[in-house]
Amino acid sequence: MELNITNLDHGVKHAKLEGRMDLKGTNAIDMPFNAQINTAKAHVVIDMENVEFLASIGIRLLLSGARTLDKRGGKMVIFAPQKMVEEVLTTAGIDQLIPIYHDFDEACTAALNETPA
Amino acid sequence: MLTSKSTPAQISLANQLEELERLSAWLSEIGDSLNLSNRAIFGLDLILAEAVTNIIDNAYQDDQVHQIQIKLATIESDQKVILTIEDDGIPFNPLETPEAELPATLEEAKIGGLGIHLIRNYSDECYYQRQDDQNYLKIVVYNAISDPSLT
Repeated sequence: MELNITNLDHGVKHAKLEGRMDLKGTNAIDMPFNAQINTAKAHVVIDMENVEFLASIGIRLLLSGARTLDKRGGKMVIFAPQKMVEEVLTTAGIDQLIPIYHDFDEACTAALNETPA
Repeated sequence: MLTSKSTPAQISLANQLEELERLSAWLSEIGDSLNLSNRAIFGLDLILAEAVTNIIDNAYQDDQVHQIQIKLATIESDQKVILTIEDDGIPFNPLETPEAELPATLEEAKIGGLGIHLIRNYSDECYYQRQDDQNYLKIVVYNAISDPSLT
């Protein structure tokens, strides 16, 4: 599993995930994810377009990151999960805690805590 | 048409988390050969990841190597797939655990209990049995087989 983080001009971190978010995949990104995303008051768009599989271990990583950001006044949103991955997120109720967007601009606006127009 | 159950495909795993990778690869291969839909393979992959992780993490109180047996068969005429997971760990019926309450806020979000919630939601039927010091978990998933004539 791969994690690539880009700092966008308007202060949003674009974190692109790629691969299977199972035990092995999640363990592979766990440390850089926590080090680069959870340490600051960041506004993060988790790009899940290229995530092929998601198990509870991956959900836990997202949840603990979102919770840390929330405490620090930052925010996490999810962008463009594939259909079956999105179903795992909704089955677990995660869409109620970490909002899911399919439009990138809307995702960035929401991550900045601004209300999408 | 007769309701014929295919000869089960099976794999035996040691109780080590590294085995999960071999399990996924096996499922993907068997899923293709049994003509399972992508959706069914995804759901079975999730059920297996959650159930087997639970067994490896919680079922054993010694340091011995234990084997976990996984079998998968289809009933083609019914479009069903039947998955069984057997382990010789401590008695544990995952179906007796209370239904997870989904958290309303990030503050309240608990980190555990999600695996069994996902297993329940991705199975159409679930049965547990304790027999001869083994846990048997049987899971049935409907509409699992790709039918090219329907597409």
